[in-house]
Amino acid sequence: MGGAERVGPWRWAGIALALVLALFPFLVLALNSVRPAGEFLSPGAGLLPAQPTLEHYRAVLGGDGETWRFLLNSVVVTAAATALAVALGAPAAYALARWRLPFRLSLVIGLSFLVVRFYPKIAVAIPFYLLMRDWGLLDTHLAVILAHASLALPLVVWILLGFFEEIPREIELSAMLDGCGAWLRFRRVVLPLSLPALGAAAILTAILSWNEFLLASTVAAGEARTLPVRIAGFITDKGTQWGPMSAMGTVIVLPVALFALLAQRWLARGLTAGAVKG
Amino acid sequence: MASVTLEGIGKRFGAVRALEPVDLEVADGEFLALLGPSGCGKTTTLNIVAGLEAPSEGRLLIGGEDMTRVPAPARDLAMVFQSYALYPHMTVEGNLGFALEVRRLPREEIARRVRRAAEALDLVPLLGRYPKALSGGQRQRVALGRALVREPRAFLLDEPLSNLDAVLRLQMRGEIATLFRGLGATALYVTHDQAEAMTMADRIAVFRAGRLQQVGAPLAIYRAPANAFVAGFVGAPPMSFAAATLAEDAVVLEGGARLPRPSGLAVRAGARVTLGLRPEDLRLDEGGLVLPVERVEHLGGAQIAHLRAGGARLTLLAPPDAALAPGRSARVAVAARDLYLFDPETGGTLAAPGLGPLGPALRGHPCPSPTVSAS
Repeated sequence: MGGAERVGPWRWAGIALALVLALFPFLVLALNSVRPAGEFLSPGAGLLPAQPTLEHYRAVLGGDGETWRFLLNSVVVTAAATALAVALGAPAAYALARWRLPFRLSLVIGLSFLVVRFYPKIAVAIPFYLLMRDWGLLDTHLAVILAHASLALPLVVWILLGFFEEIPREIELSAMLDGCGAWLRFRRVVLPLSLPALGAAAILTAILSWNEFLLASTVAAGEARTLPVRIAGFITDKGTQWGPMSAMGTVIVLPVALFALLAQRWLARGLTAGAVKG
Repeated sequence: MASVTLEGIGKRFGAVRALEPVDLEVADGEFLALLGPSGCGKTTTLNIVAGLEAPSEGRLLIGGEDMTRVPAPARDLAMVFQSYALYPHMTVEGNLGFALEVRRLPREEIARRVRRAAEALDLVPLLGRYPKALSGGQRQRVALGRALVREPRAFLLDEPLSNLDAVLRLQMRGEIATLFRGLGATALYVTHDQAEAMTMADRIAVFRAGRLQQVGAPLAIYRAPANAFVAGFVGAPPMSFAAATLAEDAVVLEGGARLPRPSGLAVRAGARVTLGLRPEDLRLDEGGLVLPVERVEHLGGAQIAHLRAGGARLTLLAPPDAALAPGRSARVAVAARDLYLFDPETGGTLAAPGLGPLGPALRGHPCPSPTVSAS
């Protein structure tokens, strides 16, 4: 279907409108990142910078190398949080998908995973801060990693739960009779079959962690700051440094955009996998 | 290989009885078919033996050992699923060797067994392929091979041929029977296809509505069915049934047609019975009953004619050259010893060819005994 369908003018207009809505902020961001500092406050400035400059990039990426440290923080946190969330979420989802717990506990647990997605993050920010303080983890990578993993875990469980439930039961029964206990079945049969879903869960977790600001800024406002937290630091009591802020904003968006582009096919497959028998 | 024994194995789902307690003994090296329509309890029985379902009552012995509470992975049984349930992410070779790998057999031993199974099943050229690149018949062979390499205590097969097309099914039927005979393997084979059960099995256990109806050799089941259900389920074309009344010297159909009464039948005259006639027992005979022909199906090598007898329809298996046509009549006869008579209320067998006359009395005929041996 769709191959021969003509795209009419209204549809083009709709697509264009959606694209503008979605991409215009990025355009402004990118343009601002090459706008000379003096232009920001001049009333006559247009959308396009009159004299594009790379001075902000030089300031942000060069100099004391501070940005690279925050970038490294972000990379470490994203990688570890993703690994942790998937490593914990996959067995949890498998257990929920396959083990019949008494009193409909599977449903209760599954729903509670969903509910934690609904309440505002700010509600857990303060308790999280206190917890990390008590554990002596404030301003460490581990604190941010734990925060992001806990945010992403429900998402991971829900994506994988749906996928695991779609794996034909007989394949697992077959593995059972082949001598596999639950763990071997999970590792040798279920996980290899679930790579698309695992990939989708990992990509979404990574993007969530890479972008997350609130919890990261609550538990790690100093040395362990991630890039989004650092960006907020450009808003100072002496005014906002629009140029460097935009430059860093562009830097932070690029890897995610690239990642999403590369992973797009995989993501789509993972999110709809099992919908139709292949 | 080992024997498999079910002692009073039953299954309830809440208030619903899926399986009435069953006693069943599968001897070492025996090929037993579990036969019945869907929902009859045959697959539940197989799953309980496999350890995929826990029985609500009773004991399961494998090779004399109590296995009732032993988890499936530790039972050392191999199962072939209807859907084949191959591992999609493994090649044919990986599929065949997986169970041995899990059991940590030496690499050379795995290779040797995989090779042997692949050769026996013509899978050698396919060893490097993934299941999605195989035809249905090839997948079926892989599923079979996966069970064979295991050299398990017993094989469990759950309708393994039902996804194949008719020609392939017939061919595999013969191959599987030969293969398992050759191995001297203990096998439980679930099927709803009576022809598979008849041709492959040493013995058949017939189930209906969660109740074991009869266990016996194929011909015993055929010629001495325990009740009308078993008689009607086994045989193709199936047995015809007709309401009848017993006279002193005849079985009288509704509409007045008279058939010879089996000798020695201990049922009083005037009693109502259900008559069963196998299509091949009915034969064309110039001196026989005159019955109108409703429909004729010519199979090439034989004809199936549907005849009308009062309110009932009788099926006749006739030679290919017999002059039969719808709207005309046929003259048919049947020998007294080939009649099947059933209690119209309990369905229990009163007379059958292989059994000789049964039935002490019409009323209060006991529930058919689960085991009937060949006479």
